[in-house]
Amino acid sequence: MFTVQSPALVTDGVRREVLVPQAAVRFPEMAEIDQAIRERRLVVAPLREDEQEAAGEIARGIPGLGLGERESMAVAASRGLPFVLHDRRASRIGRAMGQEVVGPLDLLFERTVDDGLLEHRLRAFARLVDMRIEALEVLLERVKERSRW
Amino acid sequence: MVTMERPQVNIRLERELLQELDEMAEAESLDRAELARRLLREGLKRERVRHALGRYREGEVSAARAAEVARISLYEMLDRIHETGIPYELDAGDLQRIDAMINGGRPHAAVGEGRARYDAGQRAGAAPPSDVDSGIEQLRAQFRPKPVRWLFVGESSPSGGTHFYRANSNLFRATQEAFVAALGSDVPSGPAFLHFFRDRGCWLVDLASEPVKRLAKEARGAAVGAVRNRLARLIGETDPERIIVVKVSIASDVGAASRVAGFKGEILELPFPVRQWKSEYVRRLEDAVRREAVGP
Repeated sequence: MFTVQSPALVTDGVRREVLVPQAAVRFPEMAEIDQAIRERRLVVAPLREDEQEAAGEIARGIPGLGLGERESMAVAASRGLPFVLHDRRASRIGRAMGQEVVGPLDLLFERTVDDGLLEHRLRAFARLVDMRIEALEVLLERVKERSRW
Repeated sequence: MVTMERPQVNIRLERELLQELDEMAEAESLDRAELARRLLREGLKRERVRHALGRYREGEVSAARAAEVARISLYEMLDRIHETGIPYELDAGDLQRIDAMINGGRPHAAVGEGRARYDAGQRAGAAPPSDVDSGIEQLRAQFRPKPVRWLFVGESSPSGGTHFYRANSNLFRATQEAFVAALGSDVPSGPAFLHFFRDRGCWLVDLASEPVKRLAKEARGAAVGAVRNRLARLIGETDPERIIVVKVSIASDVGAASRVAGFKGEILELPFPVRQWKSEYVRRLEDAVRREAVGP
């Protein structure tokens, strides 16, 4: 179980990575992210000096992470917050560093009450990330198991 | 004007390759060096992407880092990952966390389903949450039709965390079954039925705003009695064509509230659809739906 802070924070690096004007047509959900920032449901948090240094250290120590991920890890570590990461490689690294990382599957299972809706969301997610059908079946089995609970 | 420095590089090329380069340069009206520079730039870009994709596939870098390595946007990289068909693999950690959630109980808050909290009130001795606290009130408001034609009135939310508007209760299943029996298999199942139900002007409200099943008998009576006026106001406000009482034992309360509201329509009393009463509930609701052809 994890605690969700409201409003959620994003770093400027994340904002720059995800809000790419040219990609708006291909990825219409960008408009929702933009909207969330304008409505302050998502707040762009500037990095403090110590967090910038920490992000730099992460970059040197772990070359496999993008800018937004490095910044988020630094902020999450210094402020003691869980952070949401889509990328599974980055998630593994974050967890290996002892941080509380919340992935999309964690979010879907933990925060979708209705089993039918959860199944629908899992199928949509599977399409989005090119999940193997066998992997999706494993997840749908978990939904059935949950509904028997 | 900025002049780009261009150190001279000598490389040896096979005669055939040089000839091909010259032929292409002539076809595109470029000089050989310009075409070679262009091809080198484009080739390097492709190579950077290929290299980044390889590192991503091997799990060395995240998609965001791969985008940086390839010097393209994250979205372009996600597109490339998609085109390349690098699948999303589950790992043991994903499943362990999901299993822990399942074994730890139901989810306790919803995304896009109102702020439902399943676990609140289900611990031993804890007071059951009100419909506002459990998120039911928000769900109910979300599925309120305009106008309300049939007002279904139940006693209260179930104490176990299920609810009609979470599409997971006995009442939900029996009601959906009755609509299917009356109107055919086009009636949707799951959460989609809630939209269907709303679009046909049907709305379910509860007499009490919190689960009463676990309350002591006296407290239960008081909780139900205290909300008659609330129901009367609701009936007056929605002015339904018909009221459907979903539990015979609350019929007198609903009747009293409807009289206060000056309601003149028909009140249909149905048993709550559990155990042996389910078939009666389904059959009688099916008849009503069939007769009235409830719909927009």
